[in-house]
Amino acid sequence: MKRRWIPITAIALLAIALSSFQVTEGSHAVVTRFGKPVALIEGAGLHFKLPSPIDSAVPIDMRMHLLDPEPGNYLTRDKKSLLVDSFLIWSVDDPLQYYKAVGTRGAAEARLSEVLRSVVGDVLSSYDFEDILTTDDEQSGLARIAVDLQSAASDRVDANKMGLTIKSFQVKRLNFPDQNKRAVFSRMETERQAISSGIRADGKEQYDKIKAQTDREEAELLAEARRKAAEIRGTAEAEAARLYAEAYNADPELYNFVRSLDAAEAAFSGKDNLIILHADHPLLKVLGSMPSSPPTANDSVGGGN
Amino acid sequence: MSWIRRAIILGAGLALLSSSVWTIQQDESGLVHRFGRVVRTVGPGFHLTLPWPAEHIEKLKTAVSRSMPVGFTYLEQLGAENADPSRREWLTGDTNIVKMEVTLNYTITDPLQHLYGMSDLSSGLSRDLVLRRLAEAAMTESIASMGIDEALSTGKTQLRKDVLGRVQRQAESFQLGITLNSFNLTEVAPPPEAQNSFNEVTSAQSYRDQQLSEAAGARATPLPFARAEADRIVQQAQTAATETTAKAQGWSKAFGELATSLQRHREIGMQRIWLQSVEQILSRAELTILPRLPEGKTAPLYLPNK
Repeated sequence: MKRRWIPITAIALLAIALSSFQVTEGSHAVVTRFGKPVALIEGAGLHFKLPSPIDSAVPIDMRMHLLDPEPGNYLTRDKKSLLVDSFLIWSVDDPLQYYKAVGTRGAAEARLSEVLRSVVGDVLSSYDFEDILTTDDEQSGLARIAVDLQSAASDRVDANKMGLTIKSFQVKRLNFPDQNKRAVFSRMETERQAISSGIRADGKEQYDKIKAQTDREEAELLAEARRKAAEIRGTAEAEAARLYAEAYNADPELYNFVRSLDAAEAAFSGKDNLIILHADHPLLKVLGSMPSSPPTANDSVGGGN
Repeated sequence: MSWIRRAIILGAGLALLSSSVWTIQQDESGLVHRFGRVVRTVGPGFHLTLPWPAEHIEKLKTAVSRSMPVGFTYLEQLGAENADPSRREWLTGDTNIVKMEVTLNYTITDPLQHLYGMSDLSSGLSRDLVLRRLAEAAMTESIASMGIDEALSTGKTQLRKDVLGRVQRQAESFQLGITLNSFNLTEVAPPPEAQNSFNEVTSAQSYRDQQLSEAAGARATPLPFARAEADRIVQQAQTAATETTAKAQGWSKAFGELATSLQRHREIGMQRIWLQSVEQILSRAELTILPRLPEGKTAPLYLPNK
């Protein structure tokens, strides 16, 4: 009697196992009957269906996914080549449609990669290189490109009825293709060289300017001092001239006489003057004979010559 | 027979019991799943759940601060991976290339969102790498709107602000369940290929600074000297002027006195001063007297050889 429970329990357990399924967090599940989808289970947890192989449950990952393919070379509208590395974030928004049209994440990513490549190509070719890299605009070119990328990709995905949605489409890296980089680096070097020689020239110019200003100020100081000195001297000389003129006016004859004597004295003021006189020069005559006024003087005294 | 059954039942019971006892470590959080659905989040400590297969706990380290390199990889730093120079290169708005490496620090603040908001990468790598993509996009956009000089100097603040704000917003909208703690620019430099010319700019700047300080020095020395010289010139002139005036005044006074004294006996007085002058002159000179010779003859004259 007791033994009969064992097979009954076993059969019951098997039936439960075949007709129940778990939906994990972040997933939905599509229940299919002989391969045809019949129900969508939206909540995670324990759910029931008709036992396999009649019904089966296909989990659909409802989380967001990142698709980040290899970067590619694209041409801008003005035919400049750019290496663009972009990624998109997508998620399933219609699980039944997604199950029917795409099925697996791998298939979805393969199709999205194609969409990504062609959308990036389209969008890039509608911008000039200067619009993408610019320091002028308020909004950067890349922000506008990201908006364009997302709407273009969404249009494609909606048109294809893939049951998924693009949450974000962004350019994560921009670079020049390797073969153009050398030119960029050498342009950067040329630019820097121009800047540094400009700075050097500026330094030289500033130095010269300050130096010249200093020289000028120095010359001005000295010139002003000389002018002042000349003025002081001039005033003093004018005063002296006035005094001499006064003297002259008071007694011209005496003035001329005294000035002549002064001049003679000044002319012979040195120590090494040699004066040659004739023997009958008036000065010597005084020595040669007694003046007549004192009659008592002896004649013979002045006889020496 | 019955002891075997008892042992089996006991063993099964123990196994079921052990599947319902959980320990969450200090730095972990646990998500309690009931038939796949997350029903609650538990913190560190000792927890009981329904036995397998009804419930189980998924553990996640949440208390640790993690770091995400942007512009380089840790493997590359350790030498385990070939360094890719283009990973460090960012385009500036003036179409230059700047070299930049950044580290983002973050913590997982919402374990449920972190595990179930976004899937792992299809390559099997962790979903944390989504953060790197978002940061790269934010940096690319921010740097592409500034010039290289700005990027190398003042732009860093702007970059930090742009990236932190935008990445945090996007981490929320893409349900990464993380909070950014910091943005560290570990390196900002011109590309190595053009480094020399950038160094040259720096040395030109120091050349200019040196020229300016030299000019300041060249200005500081001569001007005080010139001022002193100017002062000396004026002083000298004043001294000379004082002398000239004093001399003229002295002379004028003496002349006045002489004129007064000569008002009487003028002839004699003039003769006297004449003789004084003659005396003055002759007393200092060497005299040579030549005899009067007959007409037409000249005496040989020997001048002292000086």
